[in-house]
Amino acid sequence: MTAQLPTLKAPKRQLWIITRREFFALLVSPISWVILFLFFLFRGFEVYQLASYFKEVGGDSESFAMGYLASASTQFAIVLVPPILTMRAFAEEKRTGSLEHLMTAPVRDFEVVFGKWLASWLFFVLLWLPTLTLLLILQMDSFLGVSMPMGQVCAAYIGLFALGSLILAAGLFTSSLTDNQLLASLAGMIFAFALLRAPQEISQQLDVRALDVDSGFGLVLLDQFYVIKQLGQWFFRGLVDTGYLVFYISTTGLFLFLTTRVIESRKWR
Amino acid sequence: MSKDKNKQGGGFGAGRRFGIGLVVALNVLFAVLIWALLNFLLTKPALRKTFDLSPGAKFSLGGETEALVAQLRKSGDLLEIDTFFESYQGAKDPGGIHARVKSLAYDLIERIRFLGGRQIKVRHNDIYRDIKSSGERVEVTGGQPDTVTLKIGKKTRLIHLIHDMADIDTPDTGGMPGQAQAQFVLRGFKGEQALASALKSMLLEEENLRAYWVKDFFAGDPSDQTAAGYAGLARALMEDGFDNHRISLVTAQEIPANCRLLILLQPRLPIPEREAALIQSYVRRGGSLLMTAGMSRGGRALSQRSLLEPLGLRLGKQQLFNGLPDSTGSAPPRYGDPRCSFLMIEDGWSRVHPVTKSFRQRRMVGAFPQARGLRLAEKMPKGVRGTYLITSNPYTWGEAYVGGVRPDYRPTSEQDLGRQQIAATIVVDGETERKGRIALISAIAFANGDGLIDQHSKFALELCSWLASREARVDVPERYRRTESIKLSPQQVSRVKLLVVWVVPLSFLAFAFFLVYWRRRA
Repeated sequence: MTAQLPTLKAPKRQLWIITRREFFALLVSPISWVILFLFFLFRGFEVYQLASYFKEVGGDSESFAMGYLASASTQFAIVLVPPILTMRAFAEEKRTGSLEHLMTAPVRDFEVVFGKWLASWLFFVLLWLPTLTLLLILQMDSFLGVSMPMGQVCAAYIGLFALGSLILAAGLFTSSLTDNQLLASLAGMIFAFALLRAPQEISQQLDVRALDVDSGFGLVLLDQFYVIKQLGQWFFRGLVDTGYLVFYISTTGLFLFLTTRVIESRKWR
Repeated sequence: MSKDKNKQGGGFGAGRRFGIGLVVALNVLFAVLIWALLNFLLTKPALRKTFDLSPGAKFSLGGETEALVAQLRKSGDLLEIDTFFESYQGAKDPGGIHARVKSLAYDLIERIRFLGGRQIKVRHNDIYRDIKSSGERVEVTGGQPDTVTLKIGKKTRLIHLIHDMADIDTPDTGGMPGQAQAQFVLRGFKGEQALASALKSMLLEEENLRAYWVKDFFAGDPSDQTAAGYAGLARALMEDGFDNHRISLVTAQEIPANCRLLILLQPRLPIPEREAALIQSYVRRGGSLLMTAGMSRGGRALSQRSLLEPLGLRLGKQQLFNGLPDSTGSAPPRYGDPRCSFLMIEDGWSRVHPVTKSFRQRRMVGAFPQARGLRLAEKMPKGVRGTYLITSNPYTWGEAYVGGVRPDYRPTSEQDLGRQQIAATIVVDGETERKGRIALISAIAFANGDGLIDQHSKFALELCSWLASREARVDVPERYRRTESIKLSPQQVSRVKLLVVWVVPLSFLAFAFFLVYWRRRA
């Protein structure tokens, strides 16, 4: 009788299983729903203030959509939420020792990493979907009674989801480096905050010339990292630039690759 | 022991660890290189694509504008764009129009700058903080607020933020006392058209076009800053790329060949045969003439037959004005009130002429004082074709707007002067390939005091561009689409509060409690 070696199932199926498991874990976690409550409470006050402002001063639907999308809670959701969603992805598994079980299961390392990232990204999207639904409800006559510029709104959500994927991948990477959840989330938040603020500071300090067709790679790269400008001046105003999408997707891929390498490195120790 | 372990494959030695570490480091380096390469290649302007999902795709540039910027890059010239924008808030900026137009102008300039690369230099001058730029503004723009200047070498163009870039409308609220004050509405943004036209004229025209002002016969003076002078028009022409010169027809043997536009405004003496022949000969050689011939202040009406009749034009002798009826009805109409002779043209613009077509569509208001009628000959001379440009009607008089209220005033049949033509253009088949062009306005138009107002400046520039056969106007469709304005009642705001502050967050909190309860039960 020969020992049966564990066989790897089709990658798609394995990936789906991991994604489903992680997504469900996030979904049934009360912490996730408390995050949603806090986020929507904060956002609710912002939208109410915005409506009050429009009642006093007036304005058009385009300005309202801009105010709705580019609010402080958006930054809050970008900086704080992704690291909280990903902090337990590997740190918790390392601490409890369940990562060893996962690593010995017939599943590739990359599938584990990608599955966890996909689950957290889907939850991030789920976090934002009610804001879109709310905007659609606000169009009704009982509330604002105007139709929103949906092209602009779509572009904004494309930008948010793309940036979210990047920060989630970075959060996953920080989670893979430590078995301390708090440390992992803190590192993820610092990364997200730095990504939002550092390019702006560098541009101001160095008095960097604005980007144009003749700009060198250094300037292009700095502009690629300048995500707060990309959101405010491009995506939130209805502009979807493939250059920025390439940056978000490729950087997400890079972080997922690095995370896979970190997870693999456990086998060599 | 460790050697044995290594042999059995139970662990890694230092050498093997180093090897694995090196491979991993190389892997990471390779991944970073691929990432950098992707970002380097796919952010190249040729491979980069922007999808404009904004309302009306307002951040996109038209194909012609992009072609012009490409032409600029090919020419190797440096285009310098300077903005000198004011900052208004609250009541000084009704409807936030100034702020909106400024923002759209910044976006437009930014987009053009991006495409122009190193060959477009943009400076947004802060006229409040930067003393140097404040002084520069006075020097470049003559102290005019809210301007954009374009400069290629010695060629300059000046564009006004509101007058040239914005299409502002004041909806008619009926004008009756007690009704809500009319709100200004930004109907369109024409910034791209203004900038592209200015750029095109600078690229096409090797040097500024020459406009010659006739200085005989007490005609209008371009250096005269008084109300009767034409310094405002001269400045507007200069900003649009014309060089202003003066010419004496009495002493000149002929009008110079480089004259693209001859300007003869309000001559107060009859033009003699010789000088008239000089002008006619110039027009037949493909020249252009802008002439105004309203009633003089003293009420004198010169027919200028020697000049105009051979070209099929005839000026009326009577001043056009309607009498204000006496409110009691007992006294005769009060002829002579200055407002009675002030034509306010709104829908009298020709709907077919390229100069006035858009004015008619937008119902732009123009003011023409001291007008008299003019007529085209029933049988025009051979090779001469005429088109009426402006037509008055009994409701185009200044008094109709006294106090901002339009009275229900209908002149009696004796008072009713009917429809009168007060401007016409003629095209003359010339001896050269280029056709001669004349624009005659039988009113005082474009004088400083009699309203070289914003609209008039636009009318003057469009007319002069047409006369000079400039092909620099770029017709870019307006991209700005006015989105729906939000007017909220207190009830609506309360409903919004209930929904976004209470219903939505609390439903999430309730779900969190439900989960805790469910997990405990499970």
